[in-house]
Amino acid sequence: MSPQNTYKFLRRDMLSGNNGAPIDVIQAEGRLDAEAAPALESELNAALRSGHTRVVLDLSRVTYISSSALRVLVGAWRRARAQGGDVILASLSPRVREIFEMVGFDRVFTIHETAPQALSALNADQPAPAPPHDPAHK
Amino acid sequence: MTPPTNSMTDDRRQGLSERRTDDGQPGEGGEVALLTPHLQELEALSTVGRMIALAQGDVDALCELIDREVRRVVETDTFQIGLFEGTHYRILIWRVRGERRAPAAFPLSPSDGLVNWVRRTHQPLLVRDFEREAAILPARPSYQSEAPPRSGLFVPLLAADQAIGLIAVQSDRPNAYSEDDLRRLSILANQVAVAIQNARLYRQAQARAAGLELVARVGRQIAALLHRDELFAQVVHLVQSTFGYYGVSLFTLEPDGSLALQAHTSPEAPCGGPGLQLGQGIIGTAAQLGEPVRADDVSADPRFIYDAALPHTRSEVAVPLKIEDRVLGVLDVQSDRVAGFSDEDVAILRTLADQIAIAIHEHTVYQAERRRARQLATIAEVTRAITSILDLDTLLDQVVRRISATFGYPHVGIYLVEPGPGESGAQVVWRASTGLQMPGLSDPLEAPGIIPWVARTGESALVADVTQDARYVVGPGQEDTRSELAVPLRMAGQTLGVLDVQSNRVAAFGEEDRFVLQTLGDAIAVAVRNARLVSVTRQESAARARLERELEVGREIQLSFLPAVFPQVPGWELAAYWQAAHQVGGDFYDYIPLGRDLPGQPLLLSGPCGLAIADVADKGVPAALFMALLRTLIRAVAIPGRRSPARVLERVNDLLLADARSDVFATVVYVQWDPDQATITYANAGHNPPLLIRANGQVKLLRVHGLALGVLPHIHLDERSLRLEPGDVLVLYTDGLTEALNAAQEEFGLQRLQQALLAARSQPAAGIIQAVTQALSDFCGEAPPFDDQALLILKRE
Repeated sequence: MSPQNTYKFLRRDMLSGNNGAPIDVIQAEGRLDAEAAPALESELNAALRSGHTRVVLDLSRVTYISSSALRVLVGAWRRARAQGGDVILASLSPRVREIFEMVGFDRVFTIHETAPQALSALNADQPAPAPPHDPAHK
Repeated sequence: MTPPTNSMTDDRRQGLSERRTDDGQPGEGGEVALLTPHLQELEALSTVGRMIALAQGDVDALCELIDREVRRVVETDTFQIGLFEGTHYRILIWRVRGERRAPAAFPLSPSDGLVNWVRRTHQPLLVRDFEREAAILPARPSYQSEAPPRSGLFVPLLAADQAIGLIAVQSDRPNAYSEDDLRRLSILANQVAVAIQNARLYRQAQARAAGLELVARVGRQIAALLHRDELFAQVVHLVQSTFGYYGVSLFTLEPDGSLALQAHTSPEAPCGGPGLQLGQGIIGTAAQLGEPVRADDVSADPRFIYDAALPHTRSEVAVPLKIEDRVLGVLDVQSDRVAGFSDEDVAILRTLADQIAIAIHEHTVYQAERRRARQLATIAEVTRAITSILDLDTLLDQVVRRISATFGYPHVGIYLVEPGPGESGAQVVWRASTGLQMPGLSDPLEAPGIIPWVARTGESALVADVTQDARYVVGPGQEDTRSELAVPLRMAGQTLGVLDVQSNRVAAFGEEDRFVLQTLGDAIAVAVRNARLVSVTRQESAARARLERELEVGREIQLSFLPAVFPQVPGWELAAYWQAAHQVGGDFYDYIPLGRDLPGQPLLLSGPCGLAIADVADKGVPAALFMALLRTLIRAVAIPGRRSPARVLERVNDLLLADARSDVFATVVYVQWDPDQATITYANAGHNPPLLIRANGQVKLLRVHGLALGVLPHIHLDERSLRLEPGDVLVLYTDGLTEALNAAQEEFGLQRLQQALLAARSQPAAGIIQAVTQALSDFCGEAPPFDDQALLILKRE
């Protein structure tokens, strides 16, 4: 077992800015290795249950990601895509980005510089119903 | 036969009197020809010239024309025009006193007659009176007639400094011809010779065009033909219909050195019957020499073997079908004429034979590809079935059915080694088979027979003829068996059983079958072991015990798939290190001989070789099983040696995804290494880039981008090649090595790995491994690794 590994996840339900489908943002922290993979999997499953299909995974505080964790990501990504959603990644540290590039996942996943950018990209993707009072028309 | 030019076998005279009547010039006056006006002569000659031009391309028509025209120019009681063809003289038009005789060919060599003299000297010859000049003639005419001709003209047909034939006219009266006649006939002969030569060239060009057209047709039809037999039948019929030969047949050279008749233009010919041996007959001689063999007169050729399907054969050409220096078979063509084949015919047949050989070769390769595709599918299916079918008997039953259906083996059986009475304490028990079901059948391990032998020795047995094998005993219901192939079901050094196939044909199985069956046997062994452990595990109540058990199975599977020994390749060193984590991962490495040697003899490697290192993103038994599948697929796709590394991994990816039930993916580096050229070509599916440590201390990370396998279909991978110089070290590794942690949660890292490699690069490969593992344990301490670690080193000495 890996000694003294610490990792944690913080999940927030975000309502998309234009009343579209909800987006879950998961903020991960620490080393995402084989030991952390089951916890990551349950966080992603929790997000993808309850009809939510769009998840942003914020990796800004992740120092390392192992193949076990990558496997969990691929599984979640497949399920989300099958339901018309997506798992989008944000804020990869240079080390983590290097791992994604090595495995070729940088061309599988959509990756954004920051979590807010990822959120707005998701919102832009989804055509939203026109709001009743559009400030632009004031 | 005797050369007939001046030998008369017929002395009837009515031909002469008829001709004289026609010409209105009866009588015996010797000056008649000389009285022919010059104008008429010139006109005749120019007419001949014009007509010759018109008849171009048709030698027979040309000869008819000449016969007619010569009659106008000189007196002809007998006339002949003939061509020299190889060792024979073929008379195309032969008229004796107005009576046409059938064309015929006569051997030239034993004769020293006038024809041969003209051929040798290129000189025309005027014989005013055979009787009076007999003593001074340059060659002796041999008369067979009681009333031989009295005078004659012999004029060679000269083209390009070669005597290609001869025109001869003879008269029954002496002094029928003058020098003037000789001159006129010579002028005519010169025109004729050029025309015949042109016609021959034209015919040759036409035949070549027909040959090429035939080759194109053969090529087009091959793509549509599924069976070799159809291909052969098409070839012989096309050759016959294109060139109008009397008979055409095609033989293939079989692995046992015999020549098997594959196709024959005569429906009575016994295809598939006992063939010829090398060196036997004209066909066997051609196959043995690797060169065409021509018999101009088969009745005089002791090698000729009479073919009842072609009773009128007079001459024969057998042309070997060759790819480079390898003889694949023989194309045999027969003619009902003596000397039916000219040098040009042989040259064309030779070109055609080359094309047919290529066609056969490509067809064979195409069939092998199809066969291999089916084999791959079966290997993948059987390997997958192992993970889904838990009940062993159901599984084995399905496996034998599938193998039988895919490969067309008539009898497939699986036997397991189980505890039993007898000295060895073990017995071989029947568990599943196609056809005959034999429940309860068991033999002690020490019993005679091929299956107990394989179970005892753990080696495979490929028996081409069971009657010649001392180990063989007839099994119940297997009286028809003629050949047999049995491979052990091996796992971790233990023989768990035997996979056995039998055929009622001699030599029905080859080395390729042995490879495929052994690959399947490896997979079946995993299933057997797994099922046995599952049944054991079921009886153990403690969950912990089950987990440990599972880990043990995973480790066992993993270990059993790692190469036990590396091949010895002169000038090169291979060494590897592998360490399983407590919670088994899916790292493995493999070497795959791609040359002629099959995996049965791993220590006799020659030619290129595949090196693979992989990391399966999973843990425990599922990882080990996925690893087994991945390893099998890489081997099966790579072994034909026809795909480059990137194409190998792309194909493996599609095969993995054909059954994407899991999210498991794997990263793989696959290197094709050619020891003879000292080159490597590598492709990378998402794995850690290999390291190249040059002898001069230069370190290179061999980066080539690519997605891991099992994620997306139809991926495209890049590949690169480079040359390894003496002292260069290629290092393949998994991330368990670079990402090993110490107590302070620091990674060992690529930097430390590079340093260790650099410092040890001048050592032998095993020493480099030693140095790296030492550096690793110095850094991490003695704690067992959290992830699998694998390291493979290739060093050029």
